[in-house]
Amino acid sequence: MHPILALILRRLALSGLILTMVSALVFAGTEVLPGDALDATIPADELIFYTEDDLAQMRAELGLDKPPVERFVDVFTGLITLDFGVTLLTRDPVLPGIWHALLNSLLMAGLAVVITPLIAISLGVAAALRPGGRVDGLVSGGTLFAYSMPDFVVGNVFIIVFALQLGWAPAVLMIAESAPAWQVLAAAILPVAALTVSGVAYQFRLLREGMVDALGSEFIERARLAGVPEWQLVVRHALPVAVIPMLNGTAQFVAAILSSVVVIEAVFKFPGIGVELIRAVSQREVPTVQAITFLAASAVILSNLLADIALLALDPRVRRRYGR
Amino acid sequence: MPFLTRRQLLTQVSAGATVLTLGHLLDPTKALATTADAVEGMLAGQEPKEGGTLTYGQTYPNWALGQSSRGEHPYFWLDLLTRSVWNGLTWVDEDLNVQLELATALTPSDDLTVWDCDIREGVMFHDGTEMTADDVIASLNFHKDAIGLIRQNIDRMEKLGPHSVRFHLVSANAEFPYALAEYRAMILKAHENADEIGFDGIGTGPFRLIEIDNARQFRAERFEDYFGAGPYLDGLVGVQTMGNTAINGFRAGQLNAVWNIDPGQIGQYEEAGGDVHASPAGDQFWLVMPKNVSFPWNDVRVRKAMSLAIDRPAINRIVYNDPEGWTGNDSHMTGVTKEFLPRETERDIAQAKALLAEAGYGEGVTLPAMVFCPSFPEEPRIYPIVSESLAEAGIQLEFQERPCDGFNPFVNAVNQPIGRPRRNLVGPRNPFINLSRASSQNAAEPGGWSGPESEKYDALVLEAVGTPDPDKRVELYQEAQRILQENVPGIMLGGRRNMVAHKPEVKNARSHSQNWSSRFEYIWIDS
Repeated sequence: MHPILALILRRLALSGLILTMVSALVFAGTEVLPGDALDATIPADELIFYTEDDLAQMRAELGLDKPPVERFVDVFTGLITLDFGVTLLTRDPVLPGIWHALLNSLLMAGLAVVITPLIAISLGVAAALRPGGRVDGLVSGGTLFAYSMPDFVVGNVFIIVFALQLGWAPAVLMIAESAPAWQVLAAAILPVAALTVSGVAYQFRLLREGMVDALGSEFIERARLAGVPEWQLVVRHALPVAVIPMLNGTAQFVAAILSSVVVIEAVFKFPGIGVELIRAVSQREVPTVQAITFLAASAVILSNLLADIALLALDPRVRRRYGR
Repeated sequence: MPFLTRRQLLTQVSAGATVLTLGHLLDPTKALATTADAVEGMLAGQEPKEGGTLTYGQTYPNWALGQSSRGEHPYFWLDLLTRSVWNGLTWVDEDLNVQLELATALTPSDDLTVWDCDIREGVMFHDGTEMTADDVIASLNFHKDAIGLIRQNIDRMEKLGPHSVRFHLVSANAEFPYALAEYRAMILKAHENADEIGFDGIGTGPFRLIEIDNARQFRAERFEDYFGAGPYLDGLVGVQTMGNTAINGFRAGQLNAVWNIDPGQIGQYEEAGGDVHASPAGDQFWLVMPKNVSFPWNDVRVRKAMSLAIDRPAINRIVYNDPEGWTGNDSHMTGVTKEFLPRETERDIAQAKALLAEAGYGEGVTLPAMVFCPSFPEEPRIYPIVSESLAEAGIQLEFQERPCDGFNPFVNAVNQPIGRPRRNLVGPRNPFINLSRASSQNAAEPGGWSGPESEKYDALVLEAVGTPDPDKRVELYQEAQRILQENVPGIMLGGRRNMVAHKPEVKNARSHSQNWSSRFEYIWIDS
């Protein structure tokens, strides 16, 4: 087997293992510690409404009377087959209830994940052309400020500036939850912009560091002495080297974006999974929380896998290391 | 067009004023006015223009029937402002008088147990078919299965002709036409499968439904064959606007009206160029205290202490900027009607403490938490006032916020048939509908209140609604309210008004004390 293919398969196997561990954590977090799903659903001061028989019956209905290992197997099987069961309150299937919201969030977050490195690279290149220059100073200062701003502040500032003051974007997202993808994307412009702010700032800083290192390296100096134009040095020689640490940052950004999505969706009232998660937590809908948590963890694992593969494709040193 | 500015709102209302002065207690011997006349009256002196779209924000998350994700029926979104797409046989006007809408006559028998209804001819549904008695019977049978108000009233229906229906009632009811005006008593197109009726969104209303997402919004377009005057708008869009979305959308110009604005934001709407129209009354908050579980409030003295301790004028003052507003009288009655009987004592902490001590809680008492959902934007600001004022008397009561979407299934998930301690919403209605909500027949609302006083109350309310003489009926209704005030099965906070903010160019966008009786055919945009 080709060593690179073997590496990808190893990564896939590792992802599977991590997914199993995530499932175990989700299970433990929502079903075992400090109580089971029923305990999480019923606060102590509401136990007065239930008899012991009621509780026993509900536990049996939810399968909570089985041994923990058996329960975990049930939960794990359900999670990996995307059978998330039914809601506690209404007994409706979980997945259809969150399906459209999930797709909408995927669209929004996906767009943000694609756009963020592109903006970061553009800014990084612009700043690296004259390190320490006016553009570098402006972008570096701006991104430091942006990185320090919480998402809810960014979201609200964007609404005030771009929707209320400038009128460039809608303040109210008037789309149905099941709207076609193009409508969702059109409505997601401002939320996506808000989502990218911290990611762009973080990735720009990673890229800029890499660019500064690369531009100061021996091979760039030689090329410069050979008369290669500065923009070529930056774009063709320094950027491919500097972009590698940024890619790892992108994978981390995917993990961070999941929490940002919850905040940004709440601020913009975007019809996505973040709003569903808030509702599920408020309603103590453990199966829905389990489903969303598992899907979010899966997205992070997948993005890390893709980042690893991209690293293999871009960095000959990594290929050589694993190719030997 | 009249509207209230913030200043006017503060200065116009006087304590206990009977804002609704008309005799809205139905006199069965008198013919009812018609909605067509009301619409004509609204448009009098105006030269309405056609065109434009009213895009309104709705801060009330009207998932009263359950949870938006389960709500396939268009009513799940439109269960409040139903008259944009549908019509009822009757309608309740801004003075809470009932009028004929799709009905042209409603005639009771002498004993008030049978009502004959003539239906307007030539009324078209949105699909081009004519509305007949079959549609009326199919619709009300559908509602009869689901809606207590109709179920409690109608025993059976009889088709007398293509445009005539006879209602046989469960018992004598002088106020039956009010039940036909309820927001979920709209006339839907009959469907061969009775369970499917209404899902197509086809009605007779001024706007035809073209898109609906029960959790977020709907779109409708002008219905050219509407039977009445108007509509003048090309389109109607309703959007759920929670939190600051409403004022943001209004400022951004996306929304040209907002229903049920936050009273704390009146100034912001006015700064954004909006006009605010406030109705005399609105939906109110009723505290449900389940008495089928061992709680301190099972003792009537604790309930009375609670009622005496809650600082209701503070709610009016702080939340509504309406210091002279009416306060709840621990019935479901609205304080601006002439049948309303105010409580004798507004607030008395010393008496509340004495009652608690008598009940064995001299050191104070901790009550089970109550849940609420922020159906109206100011609600989360109300309950801290309630809690703090109760604490002055030594009563600890925590209010817990829950999402509105799914609130009803949540509160009803335990302790059937009463459910969790909570606040319920109460709209202003005719006395019979309002007072029957505290009946023992409706266990949830009075929290399982029972016993001789409850039975006496039930009998009084039934006697009242079966009494043709309106003045005698008022006496009986007030007697019933006295019983409630003595027994405090639940607590009414009171004082709230509904409010609509709209752009100045939007004409006739008015707030109605009954949110669901808002009309849209006479709204036009002066572009």
